[in-house]
Amino acid sequence: MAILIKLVEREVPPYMFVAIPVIAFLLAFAIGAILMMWAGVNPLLGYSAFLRGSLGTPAAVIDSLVRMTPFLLMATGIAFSNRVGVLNIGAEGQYIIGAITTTWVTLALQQVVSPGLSITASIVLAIIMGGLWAAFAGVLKAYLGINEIVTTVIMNWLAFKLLQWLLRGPLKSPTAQMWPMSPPLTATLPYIIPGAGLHAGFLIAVAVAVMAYYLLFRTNFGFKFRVTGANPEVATYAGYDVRKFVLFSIAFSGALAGLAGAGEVLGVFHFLYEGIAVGLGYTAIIVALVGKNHPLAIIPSAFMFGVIYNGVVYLQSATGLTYTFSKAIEGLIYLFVLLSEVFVLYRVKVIKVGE
Amino acid sequence: MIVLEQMASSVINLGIAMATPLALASLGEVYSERAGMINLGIEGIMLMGAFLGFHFTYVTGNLLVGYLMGIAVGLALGLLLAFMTVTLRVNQVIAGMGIYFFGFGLSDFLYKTLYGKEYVTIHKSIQIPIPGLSGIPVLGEGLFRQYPMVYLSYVLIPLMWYLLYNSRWGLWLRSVGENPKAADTMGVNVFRVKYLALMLGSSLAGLAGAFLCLGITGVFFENLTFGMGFIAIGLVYFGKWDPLRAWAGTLIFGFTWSISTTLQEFFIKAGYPGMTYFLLMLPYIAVIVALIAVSRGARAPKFLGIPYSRE
Repeated sequence: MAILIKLVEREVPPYMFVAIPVIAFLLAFAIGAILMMWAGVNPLLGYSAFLRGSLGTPAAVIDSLVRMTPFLLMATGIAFSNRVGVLNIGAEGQYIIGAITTTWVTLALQQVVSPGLSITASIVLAIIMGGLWAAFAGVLKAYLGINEIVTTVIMNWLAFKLLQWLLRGPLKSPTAQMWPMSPPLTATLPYIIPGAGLHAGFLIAVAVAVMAYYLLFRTNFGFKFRVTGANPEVATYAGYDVRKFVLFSIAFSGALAGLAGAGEVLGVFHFLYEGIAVGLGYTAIIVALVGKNHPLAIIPSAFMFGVIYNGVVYLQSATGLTYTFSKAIEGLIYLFVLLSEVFVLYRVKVIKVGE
Repeated sequence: MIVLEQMASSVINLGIAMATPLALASLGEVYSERAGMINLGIEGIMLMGAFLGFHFTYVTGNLLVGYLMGIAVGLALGLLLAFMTVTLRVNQVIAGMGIYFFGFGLSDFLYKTLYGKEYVTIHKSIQIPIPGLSGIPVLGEGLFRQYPMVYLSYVLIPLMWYLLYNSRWGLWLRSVGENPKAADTMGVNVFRVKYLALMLGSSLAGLAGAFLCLGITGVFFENLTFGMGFIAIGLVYFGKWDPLRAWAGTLIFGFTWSISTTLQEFFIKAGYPGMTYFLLMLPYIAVIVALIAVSRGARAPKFLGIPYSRE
């Protein structure tokens, strides 16, 4: 006797699509509570510190908005490449390249030209360099058929080694003591609310997500792009150049990751060090998955991950639990999104066949 | 002359050792992909294998227990991935990334929770010379004074290459990747073959991760696989889905790594410590170059990545 499992698609009201990530988050946090208990931490205590630090006060919410900014940019870009079947795992490296470029350009310009010009030039160049860095993997994918997952992962390593070298060479601050870092940057992004840490990069990120939505759903280009993603064969038949869309998607996601790197350096850190590369680019892949590759849905998704990143800092200081709790939670969220999607969208039938 | 000979043997020795975790992982990936299943989770499985291998070796003091735990976690994660992709028909690439994030996050969380406050090392696996063979000039010290896991790869890879092409099981496996419908008609249980192929591939990845920690680093740290799981996938493409060719690809990485780290010492002595960072890029660049070199003419199993349903 064998068991066959059949998936039958079912009519799903639109609001259920919101239920999928909600179920996934709840399940992941439930398992998170078990992990906390195993680590000897009272989950109620842990989660209340987590919520206080990430959503409890206006200042906490603002911190979460600051944290969501790079996620929003990178996930919006990744959504574009996901839609044409390109899995860009290289956001981390493209982000590092953006951060490096911005630092380098700002150090060269901040004494010479007005802050406004220095900021603009450094951000534009970060976008270009992030895009070019990613485009290399895109060319290999589109024209030689080389798996982009492998090349983008490798290029993350290369970008990180480049960062390490620059911080000990050309970008080294002569006064750096504890760890290698660049000289301070003075031509930095203005704050939206003075003294609250919310920098102009946040508004840029939201504007980019909205513009990405228009590009994808309200333009002729976006229509062709979505057709290509949904069915490359139809797109080829219609005379679209699929390879150009593939190349565009990865260069575009690299450009946004480069912008995210510029935003973090000019908005948050105001100098460059190895600590900028903490895996935000990997998390952005999960952000895009939760947001169903839709630029507007990615906004709340990015906010949730900003909350997680912000919350675990308070969780750690209140209970001593390691901040890597956020990474365990992220992995669980990813798996639960996949599983709850199946169980929400399909009726899973177990059939026994044969005797 | 003797200095040069010693250097050559040590480059070979390290190159083979560094290639071994990759070789085990890409052997597993060849088997999975030949059954039509992409396993993108091997990086995460390697990390879990490395952590559990480390943890259980530390607790029990027995390397064998560590290796077995690496295999066990591979089997478990392979089963989970098979359930998602074969039974629930979730997109293989997306599900594999889920396994990656799960293993990546959980291994780091478990390590920091259990060992976060101290720096813990274990008694690493030791290299054992094979009597006679290790006496061969230059090559002997490089190839036959190795870790037991390296010897296992010497036996396992040719054996599994042979079985893939010359056994009934190998034929079933390949037919499931090439034409699952026909295989099903011939009485092959397609679902079972896919489950077993993923679990076999994942257990080899778990073992590879355990060896990386127990044989090479001797400590666990965040993301200690250096992207090797993804590189193993790349080398399957390089190897055109053949275990022996993929093995050759892993040697390219291993030897570039070992030459780079040897040169590193020279540059540091010569007063150019900055070169270290460029040298550590070389093995990764070598993989990209290798992939470009063979990019034309590779043919994947016909039903790679396509879920099978019996309609």
